[in-house]
Amino acid sequence: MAVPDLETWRSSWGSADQQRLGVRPVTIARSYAAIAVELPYGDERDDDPLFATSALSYVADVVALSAVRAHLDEEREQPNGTMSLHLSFIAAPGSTVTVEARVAAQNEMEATVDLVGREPDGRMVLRGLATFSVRQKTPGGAA
Amino acid sequence: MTSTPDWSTTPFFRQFGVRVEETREGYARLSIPREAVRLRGARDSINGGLVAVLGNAAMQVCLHTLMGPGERAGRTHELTVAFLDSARGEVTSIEARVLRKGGRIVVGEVELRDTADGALNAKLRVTCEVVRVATPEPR
Repeated sequence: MAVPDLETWRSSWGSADQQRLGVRPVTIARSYAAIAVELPYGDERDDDPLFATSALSYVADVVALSAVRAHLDEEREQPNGTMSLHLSFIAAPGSTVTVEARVAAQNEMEATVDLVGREPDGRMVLRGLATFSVRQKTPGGAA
Repeated sequence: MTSTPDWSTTPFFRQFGVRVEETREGYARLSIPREAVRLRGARDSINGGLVAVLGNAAMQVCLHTLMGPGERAGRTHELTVAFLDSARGEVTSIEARVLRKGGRIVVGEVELRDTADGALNAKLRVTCEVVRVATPEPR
């Protein structure tokens, strides 16, 4: 499994756009990752409903990909992009949402990931499912 | 029709360099130039999460074109994205159309395309809420 070093993984989420969206990496383990969206923002972004929804949508995709990367056998396989993403926004978020991604299944072609977003008190605000294309590497090294 | 926001001044549109190119009843077209995209994904394309974000934004703009008296565009309840090809065009267009407007729910579809060759990069179905607001009694 290709579970990255936790601190190295956490340090890779510091771009300006990610900061602006409130992205905070939480943890990563085998077939699992969690990333939070820090809410409320405390400024004009709270008055723009598109902003928090955008942050959750973005995080749902990237946390799912992180879980897939931490699941695949890096000697033989690599993720090849998101195939589909389904998100249900169950409730409007009022505080920080941690989105957890778990790889539910994987075959030669694709990995399927369960997504759940909860506030600190456990209230579920997001539920989703993502599928990622998986590419088998050839023995020579090229995928 | 109720008044629509000046989208260019909202935090989301400012942050991501998205432009509203055209709106009419039940339709919206946005665009984003490649140089404005900083969140990149596979093969240096627009990140998959950002594709979902852009599709949702287009649907929200589209939703505002249909709001009548006593209605307010509400939050997105559900979105589904089929990623068909890497979005790597110099300019990507995002077109949203309403399929059905009910009393409380609006369902629409969104397509992301490479503006240069029309290649379809992603297709979304988005469900949004219409919020009923009290209107003052006529005097």
